[in-house]
Amino acid sequence: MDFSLTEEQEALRESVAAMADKLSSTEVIRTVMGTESGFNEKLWTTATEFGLTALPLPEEHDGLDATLVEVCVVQEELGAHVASIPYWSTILAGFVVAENSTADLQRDLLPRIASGELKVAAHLPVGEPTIELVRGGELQTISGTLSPVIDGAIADAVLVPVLDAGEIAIALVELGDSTRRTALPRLDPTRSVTTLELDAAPAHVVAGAGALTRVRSLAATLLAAEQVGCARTALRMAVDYAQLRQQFGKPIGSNQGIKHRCANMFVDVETAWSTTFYAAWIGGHQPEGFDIAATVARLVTADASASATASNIQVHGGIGFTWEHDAHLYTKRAKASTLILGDPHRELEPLAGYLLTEGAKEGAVAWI
Amino acid sequence: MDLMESVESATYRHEIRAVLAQALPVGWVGFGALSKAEQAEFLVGWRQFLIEHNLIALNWPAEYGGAGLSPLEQAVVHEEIALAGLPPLLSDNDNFGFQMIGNIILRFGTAEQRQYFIPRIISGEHLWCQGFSEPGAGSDLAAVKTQAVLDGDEWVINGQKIWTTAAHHANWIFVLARTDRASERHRGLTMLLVPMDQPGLEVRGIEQINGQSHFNEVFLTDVRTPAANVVGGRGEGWKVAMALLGLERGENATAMSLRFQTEYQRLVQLVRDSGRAGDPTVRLRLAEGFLRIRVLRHLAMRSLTAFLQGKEPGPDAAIVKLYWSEHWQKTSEFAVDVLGLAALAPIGEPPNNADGPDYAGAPNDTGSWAGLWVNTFAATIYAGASEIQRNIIGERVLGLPK
Repeated sequence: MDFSLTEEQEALRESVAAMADKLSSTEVIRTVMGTESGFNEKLWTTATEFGLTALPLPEEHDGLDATLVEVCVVQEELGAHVASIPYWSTILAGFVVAENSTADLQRDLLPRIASGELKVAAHLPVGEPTIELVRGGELQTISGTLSPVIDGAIADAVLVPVLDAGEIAIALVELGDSTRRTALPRLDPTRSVTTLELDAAPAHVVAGAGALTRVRSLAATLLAAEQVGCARTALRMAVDYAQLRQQFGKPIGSNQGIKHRCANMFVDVETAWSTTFYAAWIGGHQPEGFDIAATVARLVTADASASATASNIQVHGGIGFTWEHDAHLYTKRAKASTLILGDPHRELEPLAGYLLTEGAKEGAVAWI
Repeated sequence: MDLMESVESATYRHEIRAVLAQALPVGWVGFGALSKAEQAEFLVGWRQFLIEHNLIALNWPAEYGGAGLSPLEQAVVHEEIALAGLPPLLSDNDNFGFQMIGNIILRFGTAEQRQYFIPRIISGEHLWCQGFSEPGAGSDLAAVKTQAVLDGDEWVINGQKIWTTAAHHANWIFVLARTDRASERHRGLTMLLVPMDQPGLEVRGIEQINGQSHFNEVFLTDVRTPAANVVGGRGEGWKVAMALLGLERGENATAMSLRFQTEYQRLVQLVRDSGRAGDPTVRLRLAEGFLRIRVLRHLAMRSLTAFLQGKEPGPDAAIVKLYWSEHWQKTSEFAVDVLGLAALAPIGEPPNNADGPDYAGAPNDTGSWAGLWVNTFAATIYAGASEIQRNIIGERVLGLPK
């Protein structure tokens, strides 16, 4: 048993951190925020050339055969730099296709995902899908409105659950010229938020109904890793400021009110990291228990990242709630990343249901 | 990162499980199901069993009677003892004998001290307690005032210790004393090993909020111990004390998390039995408790990882104490809330142990949970209060100024 990053995983983390330090610096983020695309193209190009989008894909389709753990290492660093690239959703599509799709679809889609040519957004609203797949011989299409879609302004395709003759399926919809994209206001200013109106957009059914739980678990884990990164940077910023800022003739960090708040942020970061990387390992290595582990990661990390990123604003005092200061970028990214899958606290009730029934039995997956 | 149990570990676990099964009487459901008298009787045989099967003092070298196990084997044995519902300790004094002073004597002691004291800790002849805290020195241990003066070939000790857990069962006490009158704070302190069976040493029980007396005041008036009973050298007491407080390592972490998991499973059963499993507020708190249980498990796995990698525990270990103690308070409060009116008149025995979950197999009744609720208040105070743990994280992990 080894619950720590390997040397290779550490090296990957450092490479991504170095890349993002340069290409997703504060100045760059501010520039990207001002654009309609909300897209950091340079970072995307560099990241895909480096192989980050190929990481978890099979070697036969130009992938690197890594696991969800390595991808979460990347996601954490991207979150730590509020990177404006559709990494989690493109990777999610890669997982879904590699794990479920026909050989033909894999041959078509996976090399394009691996190379970064296909930027994928994901729209995974709570509840049953309402969008219908239309089958017309060889061609499958989708018409309807998806909103709000993160990174919808620049995505080449969108991953979305649909109804296929009354059955749930997961579709990868190619966004061509027929798609109407309308920019929406942004809670998180660092990425585009868009309404996509699809008019007979060509769609591939990449997975059946059975895959949906795992898709949501994968999404929850990938997004949790991003939130861990936001929380980690928030902690570093707060500690730096608490050491530097003097009031009443001493650094504010010498006051227990600030010190203990920072200690709580540390607890937030470590507990979030632990649940997230546990889920990442389970998701990549054993089928049993992933949905529970991902739910735990999502719930723990949502609250921890909200709390740590809010504390960062508080520690900074007046400057902390100015637009000019970066603190709000991490708070907003963490919250937006959480809410992509809806209110996480909706998961508590079914979790309780599980614990009171299946989970109470000997050998239940909850205790793995 | 590899969370799978290794073949080596699984094989050893299989062996140990079979060995421990021999210690379990027919119909065993856990130590907590025994009456107090049965527990006392079981513990006598349990110590013999552990000695016979070479499973006592797991990390100590075989030449002193220890089991000499590898770090991985130690962790597996702790976990299997927890999973079998066996008690983690042989007596309330174990923590001080095995975990604390025994390890310290092995690390800092002389050859004579090792040969004399270590076998006696294992046999149970010596039962230890810890003379650190004083009325004026709680979290601020460097404020210790108890004096020791060399008189010929003996130390003569005067002072008062407090919050001395299990002193009423102990026959030896390790005392942090000031051996240099002119010294201040961390300097001039010495760690002394002191026999308790002598006239100047008086133990007075302190009744706690649970109505029991697990800890004591210890008064020392011209108490004597041989000059040789110094550990780590004269004036080196602070270094030794800090090493002692840093002894909590990863080998026991996962076993502890398993005990909290067992307690949580009892809580799920309590909710089912209470008829409140359909109450939305109860369901919410139950799910939140599960999240904390999982966090504890994962933090423990990380502590164990560091232990298996041979790393010394750093100040970041403070997070584990901080987290479990606060989790435990929330859990026991939730349990008595679920019991509601029934908790006003607790029926059944309170837990026999005050510093952790009730023993496996304990009746899932109001007596157990009301007792736990009262016990948990101390958990965020002893072994470094939560405020101190947050200072440690703030100052020593994050580097914030004092």
